[in-house]
Amino acid sequence: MTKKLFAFILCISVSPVFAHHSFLSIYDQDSVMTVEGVVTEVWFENPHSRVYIEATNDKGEKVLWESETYPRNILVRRGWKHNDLKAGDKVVLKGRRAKNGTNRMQMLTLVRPSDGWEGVGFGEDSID
Amino acid sequence: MKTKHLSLFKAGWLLLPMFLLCGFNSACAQERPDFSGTWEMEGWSAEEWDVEPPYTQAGLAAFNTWVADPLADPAHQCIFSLVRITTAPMLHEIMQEEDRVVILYEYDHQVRRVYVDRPHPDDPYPTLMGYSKAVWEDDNSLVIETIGLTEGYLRPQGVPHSDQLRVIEKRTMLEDGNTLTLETIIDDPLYYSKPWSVTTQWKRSDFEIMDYDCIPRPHIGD
Repeated sequence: MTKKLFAFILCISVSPVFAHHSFLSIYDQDSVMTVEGVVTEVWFENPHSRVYIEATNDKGEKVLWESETYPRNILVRRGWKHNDLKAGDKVVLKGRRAKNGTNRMQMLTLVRPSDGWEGVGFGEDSID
Repeated sequence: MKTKHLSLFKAGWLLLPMFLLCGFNSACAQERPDFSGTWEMEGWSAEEWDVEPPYTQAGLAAFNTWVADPLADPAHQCIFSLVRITTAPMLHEIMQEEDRVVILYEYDHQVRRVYVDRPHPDDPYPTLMGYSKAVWEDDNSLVIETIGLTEGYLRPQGVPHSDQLRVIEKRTMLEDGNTLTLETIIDDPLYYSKPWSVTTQWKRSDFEIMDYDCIPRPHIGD
């Protein structure tokens, strides 16, 4: 009886409904954080574009963050041209932290405060 | 005898306008739609797949394998199988001919040549894109059936399929001639207890298809 109950609980604990699992699935939907820093590299690529950002932590140390967003082909159609964001730009990134604890994030929003430019991330309510 | 001939005569007069309008072959069947052109998805694909697949034990086990290690999904290495390609929210171009339909996908720059009224091979060697054949149904929908797929995943969310999968795609043109619905039916008796389907809607696109070069790269902390 206990075995069956355990098996049942195990089965229902992983709900195979699409909407409950991230598109990238390696990012924690409950671990949203904000990073402010300077762009070091922009990868305008497939399968996922990336923006690398150097931030400064509480101890004054430089920390490199990787953020991941849509494929290039999608970005272009949503208005992000490859020269829009450059190394040296100061940005504010909001994203979901990778479950494996590395400095890797799923980009939700990316803003360049100097002119209000916004990149294309998954958006705060994304179920992807 | 005279009455019978008169009825036939009347019937003939009634049918004549129909034949004049429609031609002797079709008895007023509508013209087949022309799906040629570039298509973009309406809506965003993740929302369109709001279904609970009817997993078998084997299907659920395969899904849980993916959940345990999503980074092992071959898509991260730029390997994309049929249903991921056909249901991704990217552009595709259809070139429709009498004997075949050629579909050029933006995603992974994939190409499908689907022959009309040609049977599947008896014992196909399984591949990423499988073996497709097309038929036109009486309601003027274009139905493509695919077998011979290697096991893989249907969606970025890791919905698995076995090599027993048979995919049916039914394309129907809406009245405006610029919108089509694509019903994708998943028939995989090993992983799902019954066939299930998802419908996506597509509209003609002014966008140009760009190349989708795909390069897997390591991530920070790898």
